[in-house]
Amino acid sequence: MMSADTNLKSRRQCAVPTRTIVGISELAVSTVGSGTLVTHSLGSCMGVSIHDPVAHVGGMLHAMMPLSAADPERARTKPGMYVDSGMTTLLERMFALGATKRNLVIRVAGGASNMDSDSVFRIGERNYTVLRKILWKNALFIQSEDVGGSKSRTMTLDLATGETTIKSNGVMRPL
Amino acid sequence: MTNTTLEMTSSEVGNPVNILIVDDSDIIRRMIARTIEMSGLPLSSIHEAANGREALSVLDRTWIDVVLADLNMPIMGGLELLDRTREDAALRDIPVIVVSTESCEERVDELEKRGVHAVVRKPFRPEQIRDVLLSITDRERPAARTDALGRAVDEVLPLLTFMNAIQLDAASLAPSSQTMMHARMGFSGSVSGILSALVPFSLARTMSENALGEPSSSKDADMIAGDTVGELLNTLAGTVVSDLGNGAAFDLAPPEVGTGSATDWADMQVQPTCAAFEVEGHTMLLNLNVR
Repeated sequence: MMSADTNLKSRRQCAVPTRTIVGISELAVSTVGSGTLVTHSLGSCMGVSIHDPVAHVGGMLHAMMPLSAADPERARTKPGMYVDSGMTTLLERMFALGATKRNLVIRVAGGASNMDSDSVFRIGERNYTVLRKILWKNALFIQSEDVGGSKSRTMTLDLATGETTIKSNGVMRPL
Repeated sequence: MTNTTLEMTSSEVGNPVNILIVDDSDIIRRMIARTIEMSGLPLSSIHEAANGREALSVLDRTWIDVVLADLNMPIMGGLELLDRTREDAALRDIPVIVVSTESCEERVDELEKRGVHAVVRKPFRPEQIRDVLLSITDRERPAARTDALGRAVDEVLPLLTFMNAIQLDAASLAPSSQTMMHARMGFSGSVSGILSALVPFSLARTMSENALGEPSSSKDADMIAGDTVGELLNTLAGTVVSDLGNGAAFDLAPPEVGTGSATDWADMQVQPTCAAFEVEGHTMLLNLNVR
């Protein structure tokens, strides 16, 4: 949580490009303009990569469940756990760092159905639907997505280029 | 849910577009309008209509660049609306996007044969509407051709009404509350569109007297002035289309002439496609929309 939630601006002097891991239920923002944000094992969870190429602000979310109403207290201490509180917090932090709505490039991955094999809760689908609802309310489009199915995904955002890649079943491809 | 890539191209170039949304559902119209506003198109205006007949009435009085229409609507459905626009020289080439629950492939093919630009199935993702709109508006849009209007006026006015005109900057003109005549006509050929005019009644009357070579009697002055404005528009359209289309064949619809208001004047003078002319102390506006 600490490494992910830290504003990386302080590492601007660092010569080696940083690779920041965004854990489950975490989110991260960066203004460094180099290095990567990475999140592993996206199953039914929702991974969101956001980049503002003009302000050089990047952000990533790995949310586990759709709605913070399930546990508002938990959502306050760990907003990245839920898609709704996670997206709101991620967007707020990016705007605070100078990102603007018009320039945001939003890429989405996850929402698979492998984590609940009996599909009773359909968490993956719910996560994706809630994400779309929040984007619609904020008047934001999805640039590209790799969602659904039953695979586990790793998402990487290159903070220098804004390029986002997905690795699943050993295959890496641009999102 | 499958892998999709929705490539966005930002579109800051071209004239701002006027869009008409035709759907009997208020909620769908509002969702489409929201998507259009989100998409970052250079937008001039969004008009709404609840059925085909309302749409035709908007199309009759407003320049529209793109129509998004449902198929199943009361009073007049989308198919009839499509057919009507295809019969009208001024509307024939307007891009139409059908947004409907229609999913039958044969019918979708049939729609595309009838000239529908794209079919978006309801319920839609906002990205789909945006992508289709950008694919239309990213094509090079014709620039305002006020230069061609100037050439046509210089050619037509001395011959028809024995007058000369000085072209003015329309946008910087003061509002006008004069009594005036409003005329418009559609044309089609290698270029198609609408030419419209606002001519002060006093100028129209002088024009008709010049054309006749004698004062008209007071009882038929209105009719003759209207006829003169119609003929002015007709000859201007012919000259402009011939100029822009390099002499290719074209069709002209009969001009429609009526009275214009201060609102018409204010609406027209701010259009980038509008040109103003000073003629013997009067000012007239011409507006040339081409596709």
